Amino acid sequence: MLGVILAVFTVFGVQLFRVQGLDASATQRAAMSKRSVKSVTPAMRGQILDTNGRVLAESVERFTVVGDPVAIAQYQVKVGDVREKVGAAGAASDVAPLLGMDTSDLEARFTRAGTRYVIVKKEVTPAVWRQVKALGVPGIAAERTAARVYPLGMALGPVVGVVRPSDQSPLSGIEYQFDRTLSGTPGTTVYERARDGYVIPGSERVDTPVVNGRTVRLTIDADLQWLAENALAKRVQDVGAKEGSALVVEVATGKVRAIANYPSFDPNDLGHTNLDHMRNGALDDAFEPGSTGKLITFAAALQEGVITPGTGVIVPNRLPRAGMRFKDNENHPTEYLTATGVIAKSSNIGTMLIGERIDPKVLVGYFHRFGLGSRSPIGFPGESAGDVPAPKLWVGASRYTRLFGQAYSATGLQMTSAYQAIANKGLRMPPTLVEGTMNDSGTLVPAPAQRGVRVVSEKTATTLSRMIEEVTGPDGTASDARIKGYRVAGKTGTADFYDQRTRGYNGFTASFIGYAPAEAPKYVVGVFLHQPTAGMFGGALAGPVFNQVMSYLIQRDGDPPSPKSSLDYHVWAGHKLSASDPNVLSQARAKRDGL
Amino acid sequence: MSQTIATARPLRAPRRVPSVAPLRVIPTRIGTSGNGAFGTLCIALLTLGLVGLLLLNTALAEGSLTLGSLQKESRVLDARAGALSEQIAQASSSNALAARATSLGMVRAGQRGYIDLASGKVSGTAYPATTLQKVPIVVAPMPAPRVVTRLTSALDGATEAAVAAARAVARLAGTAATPKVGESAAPPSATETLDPISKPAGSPATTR
Repeated sequence: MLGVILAVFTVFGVQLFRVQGLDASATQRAAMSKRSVKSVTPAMRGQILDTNGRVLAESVERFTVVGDPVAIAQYQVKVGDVREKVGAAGAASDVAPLLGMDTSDLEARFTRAGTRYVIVKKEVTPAVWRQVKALGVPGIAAERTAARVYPLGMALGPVVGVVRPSDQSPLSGIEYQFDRTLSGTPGTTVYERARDGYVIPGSERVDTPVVNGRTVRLTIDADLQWLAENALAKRVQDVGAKEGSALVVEVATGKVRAIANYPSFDPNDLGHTNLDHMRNGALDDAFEPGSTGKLITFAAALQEGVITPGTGVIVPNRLPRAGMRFKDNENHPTEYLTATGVIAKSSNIGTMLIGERIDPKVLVGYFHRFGLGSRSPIGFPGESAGDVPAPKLWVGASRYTRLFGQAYSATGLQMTSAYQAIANKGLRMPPTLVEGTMNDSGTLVPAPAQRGVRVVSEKTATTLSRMIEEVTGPDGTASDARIKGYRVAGKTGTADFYDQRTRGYNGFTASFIGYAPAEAPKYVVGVFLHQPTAGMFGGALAGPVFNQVMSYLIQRDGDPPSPKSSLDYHVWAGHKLSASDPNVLSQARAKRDGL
Repeated sequence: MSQTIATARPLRAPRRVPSVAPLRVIPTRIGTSGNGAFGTLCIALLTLGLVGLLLLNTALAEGSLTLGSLQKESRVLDARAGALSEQIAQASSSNALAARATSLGMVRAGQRGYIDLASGKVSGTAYPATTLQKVPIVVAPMPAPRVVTRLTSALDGATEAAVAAARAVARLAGTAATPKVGESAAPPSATETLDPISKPAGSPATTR
């Protein structure tokens, strides 16, 4: 008997020693993992603001109202002094008006059989949830969630982007690019909990405080953005274009004040969104710019001393080059123009006669300094670098078509930025889209400043700027872009549009990029319309959008009417030019120089 | 340790004979036990302590109640502030402002004139704004599908032609009855596809 007791207690003793002595740490861990509970506090996503602090995107508190059909059936209301059980039907008729739902639909949810968890409604505002809670219906509870609202809606959708409504993870745009800044770090609390659910007093508790997301401030100006988007949208609809974009860049800083795309999408309404329209075409799509690209050829020609504004150019109706007969927009008798006239009337042949005198190596250098062929410092998700072929690829017909904006590609942003360089006296400020981020004390930490790139001399820029004022002059191609009382510099573009689907040219790109008042411009506006079905010319199609946006800016800034320019440039040479004149550019001279 | 040992040592010293206290008589009753000041003091301290504790507890309880109600109020106000700032953001957004301005009949400003304050010179000509400067507001994020209307009218035309043809056939056959669309001449598929497309807000039925 004693032996048995001794044996049993020996077993107990050994087991005790094993648990407390040998396996102590493992047992402790197991117990700890049973007791300790981790609760997560989600971080609030930061705001996205415009340059004036207006909200472009913000997170708001919402509730998902859920119900337990078993408990709801016990709902009682006080009628006079007695409590009367009204059940699910009563609950439905009380809750429905608050949630803006149909009573019968709600009752069906409240009486769903075989479940104790029914989602009643998502995205309920805190005020409404408080009213529902005050009814005291048993079994109705709410889960706290966050929702993202975009007050500017479709006007900025492709730029600001959107988050997935289910988990607030970023899908596109600034939301995607600056997710690390915006999202913050969720906080955690680890504590020990007794079996009855209470926190064990004096137990270990580890708190990691929540770090809310930071605010990102863009260079976008909300009012201007809306105006540009609205004007562009109307025009895209009117001319039946497949898509279009419009940009506004500040001359002195290179800050992008508006990026409009149409068709667009409303980030508040993802259900009705075409995935293709979430693209920020102004930055993500590279296309052949067409005649707006002549600016680069002329900048190089002026800077390299090939032309002056008054250089005579004899423009024939056809020009044979690389086994082809190049032509202008429309047939014309041989014209005697100045270099100014060539760009004002957007003559391809005249541009070829000028541009072929510059080595492609030199020209490619100008393309790069104008910002073409590389991504902008904005680094937008999906942003295109465009494509500027290397000098050794400037052979055959493309050597000539590149002089007037075909056979290479650029984005709308790059082209607008190129005009910013001329408007800014030859100094190109690389475009930026973000002013900075807010630190914890709410002050703005500015984004790193960009260094300007000297593209051409101040004199060349001033001369070229005055030359392209003739584009909106009486003989120019852009009468629709004129603003009464102001000198408007700019250039139209009508390019063949390369269609990815058909793998060939299909339709046109009509564009206008310009600025006013030309003597002291503050903003450059670029408008691009792809594949319009009514008309094709940049001046007529894109000009009116430029006009609306630019005249708004002039009025807003209170720019007084322009004084007359001191530079007197002419479109026509004024007399018949001689092909033998060594200063006049012509097919004869090209032959003489072996071009 | 050594100190303990050192002090303990005398205990081991040879015991002296203990001196016996002399016996004396104590009174059977102690008549007076002070004037009660000490007792009063004790009771007073106890009372004061208890009252103090009670007050402290009450204050604590009251404080926690106030804290609770203030926290609740703070939550309500917080939610209200959130809702209001959300409303402000919505109402002050450019598109909402433009829509409201247009609904009030406002238009864009006309051309302006400028007065140079230094020289008194007037430049530019000011014109009053007219309804021509009204800003049309686009609210659809994508253009209305144009192809649908064209397709609808084409299909309508086709159906009309088919019905007319069917009538002609019927007339030739000598039957007076009006043929139903979908029979013989009009292919059934034509009438079936007509229905969904004739709805104006239908899905874009693009042909390209």
